[in-house]
Amino acid sequence: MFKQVLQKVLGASGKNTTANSAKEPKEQRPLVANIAENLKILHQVFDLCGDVVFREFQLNTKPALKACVIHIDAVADDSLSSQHLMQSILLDNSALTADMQLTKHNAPQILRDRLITLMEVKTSTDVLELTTHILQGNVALLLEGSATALVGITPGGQGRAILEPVVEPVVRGPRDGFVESYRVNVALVRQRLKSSRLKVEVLQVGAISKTSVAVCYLKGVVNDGTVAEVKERIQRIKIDGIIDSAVIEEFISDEPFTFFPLVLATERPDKTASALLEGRVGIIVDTTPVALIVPATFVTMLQASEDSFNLYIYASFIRLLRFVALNLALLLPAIYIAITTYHQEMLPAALLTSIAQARVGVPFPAFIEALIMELTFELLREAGVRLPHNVGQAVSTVGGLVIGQAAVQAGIVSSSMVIVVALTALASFTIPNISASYSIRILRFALMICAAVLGMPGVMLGLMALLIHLCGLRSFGVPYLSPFAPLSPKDMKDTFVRVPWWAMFTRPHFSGAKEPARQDPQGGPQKPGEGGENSSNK
Amino acid sequence: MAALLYVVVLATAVLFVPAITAQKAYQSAWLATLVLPTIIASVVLLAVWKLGMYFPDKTLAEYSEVILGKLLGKAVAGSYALFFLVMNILVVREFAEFLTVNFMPETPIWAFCSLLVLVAGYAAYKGVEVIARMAQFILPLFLLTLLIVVLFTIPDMQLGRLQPLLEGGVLPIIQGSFVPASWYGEIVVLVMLLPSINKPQEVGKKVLIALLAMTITFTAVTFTALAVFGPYLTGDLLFPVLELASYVNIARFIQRLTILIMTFWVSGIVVKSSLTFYVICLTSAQVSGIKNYKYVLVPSALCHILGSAFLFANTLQLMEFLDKYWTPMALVFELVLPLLLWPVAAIRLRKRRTSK
Repeated sequence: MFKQVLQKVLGASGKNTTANSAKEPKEQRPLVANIAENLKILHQVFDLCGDVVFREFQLNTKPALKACVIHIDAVADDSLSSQHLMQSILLDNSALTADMQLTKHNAPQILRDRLITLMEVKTSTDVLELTTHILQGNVALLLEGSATALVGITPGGQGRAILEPVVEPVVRGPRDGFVESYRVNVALVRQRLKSSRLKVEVLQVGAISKTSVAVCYLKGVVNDGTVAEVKERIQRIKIDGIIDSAVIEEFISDEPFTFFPLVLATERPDKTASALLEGRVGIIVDTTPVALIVPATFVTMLQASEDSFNLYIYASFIRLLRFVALNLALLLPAIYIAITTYHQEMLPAALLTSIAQARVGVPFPAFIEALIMELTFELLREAGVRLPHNVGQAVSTVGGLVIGQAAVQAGIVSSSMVIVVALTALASFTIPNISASYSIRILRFALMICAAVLGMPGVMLGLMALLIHLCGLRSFGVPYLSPFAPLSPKDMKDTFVRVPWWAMFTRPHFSGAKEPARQDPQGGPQKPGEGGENSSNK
Repeated sequence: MAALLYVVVLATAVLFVPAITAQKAYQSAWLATLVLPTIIASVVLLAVWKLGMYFPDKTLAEYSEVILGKLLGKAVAGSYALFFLVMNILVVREFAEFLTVNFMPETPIWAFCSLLVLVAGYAAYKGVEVIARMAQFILPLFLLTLLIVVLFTIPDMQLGRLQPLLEGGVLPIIQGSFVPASWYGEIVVLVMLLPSINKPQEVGKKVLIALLAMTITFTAVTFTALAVFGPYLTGDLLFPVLELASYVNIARFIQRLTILIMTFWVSGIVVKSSLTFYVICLTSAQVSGIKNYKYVLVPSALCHILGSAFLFANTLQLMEFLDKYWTPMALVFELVLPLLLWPVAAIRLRKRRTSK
């Protein structure tokens, strides 16, 4: 319903959405047996494309056959194409015996079978297909008198080295993070799951950008319906370009209007791999160092990948702490406002006195005070993100000294409010998922308003509305609040606490339960001397 | 589903009923909540369940027409819609009453009413599945708070306040039983919900468990209130359980838990009101032949706000209504009508089968 309204307001009519690709050859057109003709077509296609290189040369046959190599500079891997394509065609004729001379007719066949040393060579007979290949970074080889072009698969492109994840760092655990190339990213996942059951289906999205989107899943573990749904939703996207996986995320979300991320985004291959083992689907998008994981639930937003690597007791402690932090980040300012404004009787006398003393001389009601401080904090945070790193120091000085201390000394805000805001900020930093922490930040303001208007009952009503919203959310058919609502105690192994690895017997319920067991139930650690029959995990 | 009904019944019952029951049955009030209401509610459950089994894919609004004919059926279903409406108006009013009396005496009552209706309407818009999930989410918190109240007031209990047992004979207990019975009987909302349940065959058993759990919890709470305050004070207090909460004192630091308790009650009441709201919309939509119950949301929300804010002048009027008028009215709809419909349905169905 909202979506239709939005479409009306924003004036999208659906008529001009596919017009973007009008400039490119649309219908299929076969290559002809005349190389000059073919080149003319391709020159037309790549008119004014300065980075497309046409390299014409002659094969050393008698009579000399004209040939042309077409690729895009720096998009195709130059060293690969020059070494394994050009060299092998122009220099390395030793493989040819006397009875096998290149002619017009057998040239494509012989080149492919005997000469070109590239790992993968395809053939193409269609202009559109050939263009696509060239644009993807492959090398096209046109030959005189042949309606078949050879395509050397040489995708290169520019990318950075694999670095440590910036947003999700760990103290213990693997340190490689995704990069911008989806091929490298898929390889990083594949290295962790060396199984032919890890399927990688590559789709192309974006009329102009033609971004490769790899849908990864473990066959037999995943719910097939989810995979089909993911693919269907991705194929439904009709947009000119996908710049980042965030675009895909917004398109494939179940509920278009929500504060909460219904898709889990991560830049860690280990997290992706373990999600796949749980029966989730990974979506790796080219040119994006962030993979998407569906279905996501609310709990996944509070799981840091380090929880899996630390001692399970410690990890559980941290997990519980994070739940507390979540509540603090969401509620603390609201509760502070409600208590100081309406329910002073809730506080023990001593605490009440110290708060009242701190508030003496503050000219604003608690709500305005909290609003000022929270907004200031958000400003500081935003400024810190926008500034270059070497100037960023200035922000912390301004924040800590000028706003914190000076504001209290000037009597504009109370010191207790500064503590509340600081605690809230600290708590919101502990939420591992960035998009979840954004939603918490926004909702905090909403709840502050509730508290200012109706006190604690107001906060509670606000929370209930939030709960209703959360209960109504689904991520690819999986209720967002599962395993709490609907309740499934079996799936609570990795929620409030993390049970030891040797006790994670089953996969989450949503995986379709085709292969629910994760491990041999007898496989837990054993004290020396105890029999194998009664291991310690039951 | 069991969790849903549990929260739905207890959310408001715990607030109001101990006082009303104690006024009638005095120190034996906990017996009044234990025996008779459970039996009555079980009968209600049986009737509702049997009816549901006759028409597994129909709600009451749909099958009453089959049973009683078009006109009479519509009348019965329509009156059920009104009954649920009154019930929810009472819930909303109880909620607002509870908050204004205890926490925010200067806030106008319509403010709370309309906000609750807004939130409940949102939940009703989302549908019954969402409401059920909410209940599941809230149940542990709800139980925890009740448990805290009961456990930490143990030092203040004096069992002597419960004696002499059965002072005035059995009659006061029976009299006192009808009010809790009318609350337990709220499980009659099942008549509208059975078709949307996954495994309706198991519902009978599950709801019975919920019913027993309700009885135990509720009796425990009433018992605690009586043991701490004695029968007369319990009867005179508006919200005995809330006062109980203020007795909680752990290590001289965790005290005055009333507001905490209040927050979880608010959540319970929201669930209850949402479910009733949903049922009202569904019933009235089906009676009037509107295909999507969501169209009825806005008008019934208006009815709610107006009804809850202006039907009663003050708390005492509300209590009087609950005591004198609500109980018989509720029992008619909860007990009598299903019990009447059940044999009629049985006879009709048998006739149809033999004629075929």
